[in-house]
Amino acid sequence: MLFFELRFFVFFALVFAVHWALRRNGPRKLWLLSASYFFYASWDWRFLGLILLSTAVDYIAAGRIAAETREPVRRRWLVISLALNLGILGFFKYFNFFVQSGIGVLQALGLPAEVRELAIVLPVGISFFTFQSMSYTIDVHRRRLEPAGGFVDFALFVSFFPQLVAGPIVRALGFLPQLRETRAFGAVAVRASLTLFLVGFIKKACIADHVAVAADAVFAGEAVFGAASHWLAAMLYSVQIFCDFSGYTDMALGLAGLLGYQLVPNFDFPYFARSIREFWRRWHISLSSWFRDYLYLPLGGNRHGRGRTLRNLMAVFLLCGLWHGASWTFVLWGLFHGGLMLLERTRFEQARAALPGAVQWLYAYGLVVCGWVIFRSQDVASMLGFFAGMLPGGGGGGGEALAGVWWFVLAGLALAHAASFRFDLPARFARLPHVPFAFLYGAAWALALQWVATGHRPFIYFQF
Amino acid sequence: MFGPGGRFLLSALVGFWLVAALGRVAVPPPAEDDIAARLEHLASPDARYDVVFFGSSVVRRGVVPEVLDSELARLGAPLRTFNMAATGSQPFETDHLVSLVLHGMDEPPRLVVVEALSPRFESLIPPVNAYGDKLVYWHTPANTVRVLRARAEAHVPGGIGGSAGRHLRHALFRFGSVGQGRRIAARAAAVPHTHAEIEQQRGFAALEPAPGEPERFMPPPGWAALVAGLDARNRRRPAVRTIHRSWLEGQVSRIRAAGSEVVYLVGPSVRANVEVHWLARNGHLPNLLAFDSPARHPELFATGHRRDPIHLNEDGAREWSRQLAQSLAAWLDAGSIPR
Repeated sequence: MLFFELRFFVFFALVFAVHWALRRNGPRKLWLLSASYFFYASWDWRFLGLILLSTAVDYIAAGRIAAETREPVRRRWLVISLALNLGILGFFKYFNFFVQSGIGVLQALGLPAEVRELAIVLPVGISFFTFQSMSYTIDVHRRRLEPAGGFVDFALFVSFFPQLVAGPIVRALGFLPQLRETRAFGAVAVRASLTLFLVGFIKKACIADHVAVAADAVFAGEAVFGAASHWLAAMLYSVQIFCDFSGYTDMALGLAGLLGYQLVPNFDFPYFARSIREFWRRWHISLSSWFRDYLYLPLGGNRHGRGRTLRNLMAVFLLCGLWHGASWTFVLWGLFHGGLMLLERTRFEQARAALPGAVQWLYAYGLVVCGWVIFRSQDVASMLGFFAGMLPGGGGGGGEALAGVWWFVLAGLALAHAASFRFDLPARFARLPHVPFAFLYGAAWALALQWVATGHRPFIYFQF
Repeated sequence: MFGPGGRFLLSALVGFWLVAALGRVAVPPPAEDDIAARLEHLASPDARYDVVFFGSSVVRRGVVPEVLDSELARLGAPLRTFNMAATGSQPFETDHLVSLVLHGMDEPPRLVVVEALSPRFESLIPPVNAYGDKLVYWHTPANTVRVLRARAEAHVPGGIGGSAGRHLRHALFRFGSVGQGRRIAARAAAVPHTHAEIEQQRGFAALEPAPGEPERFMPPPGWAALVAGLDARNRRRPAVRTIHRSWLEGQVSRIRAAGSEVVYLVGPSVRANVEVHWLARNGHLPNLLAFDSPARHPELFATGHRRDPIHLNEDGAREWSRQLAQSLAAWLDAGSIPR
């Protein structure tokens, strides 16, 4: 059930109506939990057991950690929680990858090795809800957080449907207190939430899914495109992945807002960053801050000298790459960004900072686009082929070219994005008086529907 | 009269409805299969045709107006024909195109030839065509009600359930012109259709082999038995209750009310048309010209004339058009159809 499908609209209308019709907080939470499990089961009911297992174990572990004063016992419960979450993630997401890679190494050494792959179906959103659940037990262990008031609260925190399958990765510290209070409809920012949902819908259904067609044509590598088309496709992919992922986030924030809950923002105009460091402060903020708080800082952060800082950074980005998927291209993508982060901690940073703003932007955006080529490629060979195609005279001389209209589309989208950044258009729209807002909102939906791309594509980040 | 919530909802609905209505006016007919261009051609003042063919790809790839006209002229029945069939066209879709043509032409054609497909409607929308422009396009409120009523009355196994959902979704898509923005923009940019090829081919398009497909038809295993058994299969009794006769009768009266006569046509395909033959045998289907009998039309089932089990190749299309002209001329001579 995708956020832009008709059946989701029916589902949400029902959830919304019943949620606000219920007066007491307890039944409301139970209703939202049931709706969330129904939503998850609509993807594949078999994985309900998985999310229930993870939820139950973390709920029990956190309770024991909080009740226990002896540190070794507390630590033991934390290890049980982490082992379960990482075990589930490792099995479903990485088992075949590591087995295949191991076999590859053995075969390269001339040793006979052959293992049949397991037919493992990746549960949707597994990386998101396991990270969310892990952060809870870690925070309870660190005594930064009191355990959830009840199982329903915790289960709803893990499975809250607007952000269940693709984030943002919510922290218990920010979400559980919201569950303790009865939400009042009068306090809901209806217009802002509706606007966020519409903006997300436009980004996903009207932009990402359209530009995907052009980007896919070049990344498929079936025809010989010239260097300009390769660059254009890479930039269009940067548009696609941003609009796809931030569109989902906007819709999630809007839906949660309509139900009276606030989720953390996940994007802050990342393509306006002037350095890779700044990019990571603006892109997938909930993931980068998760890695910072639960991996980088516990490893020592930048407090133990230059060597340790570099090691910690590379470890974080390697795992960040792997978090996205079990593939060498994701590992390379993580290392690519880790390497650039290291570079920006050398003398190079002074030189970069001295450059004019536009050149700094070009540097950051150009490298991010190159990173997306690694990210998007099916395997290392096709990645190298794509990079070769981006070189002048690359792509075998360039017999074919993407239609010129895509350059105009790209320029138009960049202008719209810049205008949104400069004038904060969605916020201004949401501040319109009641009736004009509603009229324009209805009109905007009708216009947006006319521009949706037919043929549904799931959100890119659902696979992670 | 309304509270704040009611005013909000009403304003949003008005805004939505207004833009959706503008969108519906601006959406051009489907470009697929040159439908828009052919409709535009038929509606132009200098387009004068005596016979217009409607149907699926069997007709679109099989009826060559140029051959048909010269053969008719040779037989003393000079008529000018046009092929308005569309690939994948289902009965309701064809019906919609018939209405558009009859309302669009200055002078209606004397004959409207409609490919007779099974009027049972349970397999109406092949998944491959779902959300295609032309499929969404014909889901006007009136057509949607008609198709839902037809299904409800036809006692189709499984009832109206799943298919009703699909039709309502398509009707909603049409109401909101979902996904039609690019076509609206193209229309606004006034990209002209080229009529030269349409005037030359008059709607016929030969089915070329797909890339990698052999030039000649390679009969599938059991082809000979399939062809040999077709006549017997067509003589079987269908599940009569599932045939929606009143819809068919409605189509006949709509065409006649527009001033044309209707002729039903069955093409030379190996798909059995049990319902159609039963209707004709029992006098419920006026003016049927059937070419799906290998015993009577062996040339049309010869492998040299076929592209695949359903379609003819260009040679086959020319052969069928000659035979079609002879049948039409014979009917005209017999006075079955007014000359």
